[in-house]
Amino acid sequence: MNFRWEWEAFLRDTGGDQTYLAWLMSAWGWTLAVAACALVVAFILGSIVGTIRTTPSPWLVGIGNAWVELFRNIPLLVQIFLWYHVIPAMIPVMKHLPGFVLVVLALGFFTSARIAEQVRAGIQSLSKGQRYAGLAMGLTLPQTYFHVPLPMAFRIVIPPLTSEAVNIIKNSSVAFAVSVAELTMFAMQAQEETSRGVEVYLAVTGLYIVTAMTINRVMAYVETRVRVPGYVGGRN
Amino acid sequence: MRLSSHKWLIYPATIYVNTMRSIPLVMVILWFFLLIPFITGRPLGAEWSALITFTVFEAAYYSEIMRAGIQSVSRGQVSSG
Repeated sequence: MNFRWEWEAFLRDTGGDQTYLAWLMSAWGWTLAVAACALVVAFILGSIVGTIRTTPSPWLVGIGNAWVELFRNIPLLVQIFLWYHVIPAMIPVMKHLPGFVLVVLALGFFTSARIAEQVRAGIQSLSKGQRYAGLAMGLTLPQTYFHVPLPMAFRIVIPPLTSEAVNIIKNSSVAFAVSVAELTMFAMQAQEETSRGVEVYLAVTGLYIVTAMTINRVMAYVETRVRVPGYVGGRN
Repeated sequence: MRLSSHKWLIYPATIYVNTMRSIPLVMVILWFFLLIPFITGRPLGAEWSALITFTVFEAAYYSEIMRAGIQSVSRGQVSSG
């Protein structure tokens, strides 16, 4: 094999007024931005849906179940296409939204169903007695949720939330299908333009790994900081 | 392999699983498409590439599931065996 490394391909000009390296960094920024915004959407929606699935009201539980089934059973790529092509056609207000917002919504809603499952599991893993104790103290149902099961449940679901955060970074790679300029998009285009595929792919893969490991470490730190003695992960 | 007591078995397995788990499937497919003609000198059909890539990718996830399953069995059972 007569392969020569040619890392200086990154310093070449893209034809615009930037180098491939600058483009790589901006692509990384887009990936992080999509993932972070989608994570916020997913976390808020997922917490709400997950919580209402444990309430006594059958209507709320039904809505929550329907939500989760709907978003978990459609492939992410199909959802992204639906958000991008179908929904703007049906709702005229959304026609002027940039692709970025639509991708964030698609990813956020998709992940919210998964987070809802985890939050529900977290709440149900707590003994029922805790909730009854809260209600017996005279707290209303929302007050009970805010002060008794939810703080514990969120601590319990930190590990699955970590993998969901890593997942959302990886899933943001499907955003290339609707031409958001993120890392995978960069990998494909730069590989074609420079024909230095190995270097380009190595750099992109490296960035993905760095991002995933960083999230992993940060969440592990958060987990040790908020652990409650006597519960999962908090032995002393 | 990840449960073995030999460092040289644990490290490659861990690196493989962690790498596969932290990059998107699309990237693995792109890598595969780039490297196979490079190594063998001729391209592989799209169906075969997809099949092999999915196998390689999912294997990492299944290996984590298997590891968790083995670790959930109490240590005493291994010792008694």
